Amino acid sequence: MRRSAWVLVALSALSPLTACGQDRAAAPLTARVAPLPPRKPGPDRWAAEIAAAESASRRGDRRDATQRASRITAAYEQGGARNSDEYLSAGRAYVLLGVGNAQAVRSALAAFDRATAADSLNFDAQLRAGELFLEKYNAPDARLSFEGILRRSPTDAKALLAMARVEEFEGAGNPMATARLSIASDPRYAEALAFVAKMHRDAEAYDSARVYAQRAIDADSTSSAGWSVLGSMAFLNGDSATFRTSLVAVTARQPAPAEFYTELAEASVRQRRYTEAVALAKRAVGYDSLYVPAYGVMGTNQLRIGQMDAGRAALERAFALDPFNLWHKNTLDLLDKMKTFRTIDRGRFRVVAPPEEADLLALYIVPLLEQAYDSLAVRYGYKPPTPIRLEFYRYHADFSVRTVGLAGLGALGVSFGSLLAMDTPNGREKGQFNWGSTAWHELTHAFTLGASDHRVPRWLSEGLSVLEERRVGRGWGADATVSYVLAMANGTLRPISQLSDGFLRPRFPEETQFSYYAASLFCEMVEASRGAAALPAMLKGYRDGMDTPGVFQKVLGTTPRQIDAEFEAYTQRKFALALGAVRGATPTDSSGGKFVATMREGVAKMGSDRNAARALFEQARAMFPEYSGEDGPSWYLAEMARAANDTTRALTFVEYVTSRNETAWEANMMEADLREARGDKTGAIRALDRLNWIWPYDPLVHVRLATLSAAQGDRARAVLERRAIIAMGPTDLLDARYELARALRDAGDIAGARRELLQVLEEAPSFEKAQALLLELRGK
Amino acid sequence: MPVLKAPNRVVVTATKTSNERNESVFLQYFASALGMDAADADKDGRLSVFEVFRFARTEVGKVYTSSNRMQTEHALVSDSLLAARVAFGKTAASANPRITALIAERQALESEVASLRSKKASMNVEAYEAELERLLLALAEKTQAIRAAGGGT
Repeated sequence: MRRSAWVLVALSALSPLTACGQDRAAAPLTARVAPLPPRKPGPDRWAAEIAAAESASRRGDRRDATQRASRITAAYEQGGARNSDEYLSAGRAYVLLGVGNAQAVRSALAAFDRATAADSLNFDAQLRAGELFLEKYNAPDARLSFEGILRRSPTDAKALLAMARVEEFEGAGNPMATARLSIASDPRYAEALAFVAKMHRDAEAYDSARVYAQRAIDADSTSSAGWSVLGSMAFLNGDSATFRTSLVAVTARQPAPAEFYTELAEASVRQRRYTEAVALAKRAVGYDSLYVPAYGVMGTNQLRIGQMDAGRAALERAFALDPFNLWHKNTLDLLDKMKTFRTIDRGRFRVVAPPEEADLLALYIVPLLEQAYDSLAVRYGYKPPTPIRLEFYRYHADFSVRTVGLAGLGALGVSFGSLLAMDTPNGREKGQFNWGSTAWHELTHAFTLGASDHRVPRWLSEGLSVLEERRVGRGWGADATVSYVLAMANGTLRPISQLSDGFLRPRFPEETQFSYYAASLFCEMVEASRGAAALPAMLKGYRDGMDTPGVFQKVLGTTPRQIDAEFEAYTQRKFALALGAVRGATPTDSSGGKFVATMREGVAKMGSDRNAARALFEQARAMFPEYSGEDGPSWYLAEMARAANDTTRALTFVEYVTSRNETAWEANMMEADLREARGDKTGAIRALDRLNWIWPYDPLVHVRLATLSAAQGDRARAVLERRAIIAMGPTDLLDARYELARALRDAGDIAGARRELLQVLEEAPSFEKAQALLLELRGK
Repeated sequence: MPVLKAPNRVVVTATKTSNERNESVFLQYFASALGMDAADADKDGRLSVFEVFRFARTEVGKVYTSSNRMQTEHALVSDSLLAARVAFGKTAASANPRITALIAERQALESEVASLRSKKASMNVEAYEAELERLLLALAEKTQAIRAAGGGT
């Protein structure tokens, strides 16, 4: 289905800044300007009517709002406006008519632009134009509008708040700081106070959120935004009294509180409570069947809980009402594309993948996740509802759209509870990620989310998922890197009590990755110091409605500050050697210290003096024993030992890499070769198996696995590998199927072998090897 | 292709028109197929021109798909029926009349299999499979007999 999204763009001839005669790249916002004289509004024939229309809209009385707005736009279209304020009123009327009417949205923008052209001091018109741009997802033009105001009035509280919203939308700048500037300019500006409250709530800083929400309400007891934040937190925390108070306050102004319930739904999404979000969004739609954000939240989250048809229908409706929404367009386009995907139901899982990869991926991922399900169910005392849907995307952009509606998400996988999505291993370069550990990680979220009734904070959920990856063995789960230890040395890591911000508001690109690792170390520390039951007990604490300090106190018997100190001491001990090795000459030195210098020297000497190089690599290895990168000392030492035909030493070193590094393709291949050459078939199989979880598309790996497994008497594995070869669409499909028939025969599945052979010989009756096997099976 | 095409002539081209001007990889796969059992699609021990063509064309498609590139070459064959009859290498002919007779019997069985396949859609599954297996076993025994008599395939 062809689907195009509208784009609301500035009309250059009428754009606010051009009308004001300003250069868009003019002075910075902080430039000093003379205070402007107060602006006198002109006579506006529609002032009362537009105020009444907007009031009706806020109450949820769309009919009255539409009738009033239509009267204004009819008058405007017939007789035009007489001054800037009348243009502004006309624009506001068009905005009210803009639901499902893209032309009205454009007319609104044109009217706002004319209002500004008629009076460059009419900041309200510029503000509304910017807000309209932002509402229609055009942040750059919104920013230009707000910058235009701020250049003339740098402390305009409304424009500062609007700019904060742009920054939040773009994920750039510091929206919290900009909103605080707005509050500094007008300490009783309820909208700005509520905005800050919402940001705190979304960062899971509930105490601060409550303070700001209360300040918003104190400043304006009718502030829907303030009550919504307060109400949403009360809802999430099960505080029914505060929730009821908030609802009563909101409904006093808005008898059909669609916006309030949509806000609750969005807050629920932030806590990954998708099923509740859908229910809340449905209530919002029930109150206002034209409220686009409610359809958006409903559809997006229906898709996240596997209600594919209902989700699509809701998004179709949202897109029909708001054709500017690129997120919805992208998601609908992806759903169209997914019609070609194959669905494989097996055991407790439903695998949905591109047709050319579905069979291969399902062969391996289902048994792995069945194993994960059983072990996680025991550990966390919880069983997520099944079937669990696992979607694979060949193109990362598609995975990103599935997750957030837009391309550009950096993550490898995502868990919405009983729906997991991830890149196919083919979606990235070989060696960039491990699809087995990624799936295990995402499935763990389904358990930790469920066990905590979706109340576990993101940082702990991620830490547990990485810890569970590591428990599997096979080198899975993140390990220490030079940059992580450097960040420790330089003091740039957040303490545990602030780790949520490391995920939600990273200050530098690597911080999210560091936060995953730090969270997993915290989990390790807790398990080591408090026993295996402590982590599930923490989840239970969250499930019972406790916040993080409460959980720390009850389960760990400590305060957040004490846990920060304990974690600091734990990691300092754990990485004592590495810290000394990577620490630079000064606190800000990020060169990697002695470790990196020694490695560099070793690499430089490899061509000229191998003995010296070896000695340097061994020194480096002693300095940072945890380091297992394929650019690290163990890998170089393994390569040198192999070159010298010292396979024992080569194996010792390479195993150090493969047992810690989940994406080490070359190292695992070396280990497989060395072990096979030494007759260690079991060890070779283990290495080949690890390769398969890095990149399952190498037919030779599967052939080797099939052959070695058969030789070891693991007939079932041999059959699996033969099936995998077929699933990859080999060049010689008939020969691959013949080999499968042989493997089936060896496994005792004579009927299966015969069935396979008949199909092969039906295609190629003269296939002599297959004929001989058929005769053998029939005892001839 | 229209210029080169003629009766009793098989023309294979790496590209479909003169507009496909990028360097092609078809020839390298066509040449390598000549030494590969994998190219023998019907596993009869003989490589027909069409089998080699099809093998190379498939491999070319994979090369472009796996490297996420738009395919800029599309190979053509002028007469696929003739190309399927023209083979590289030796045929199964023999001077031994016993072997010649066995080969003829096997060819008859192969024809029966082909005939059975053409009726598959109209037959009961069990009956089809039983008849197919009977023919295939007979075929397999015939191949064994040819081998035992010193013949090749």
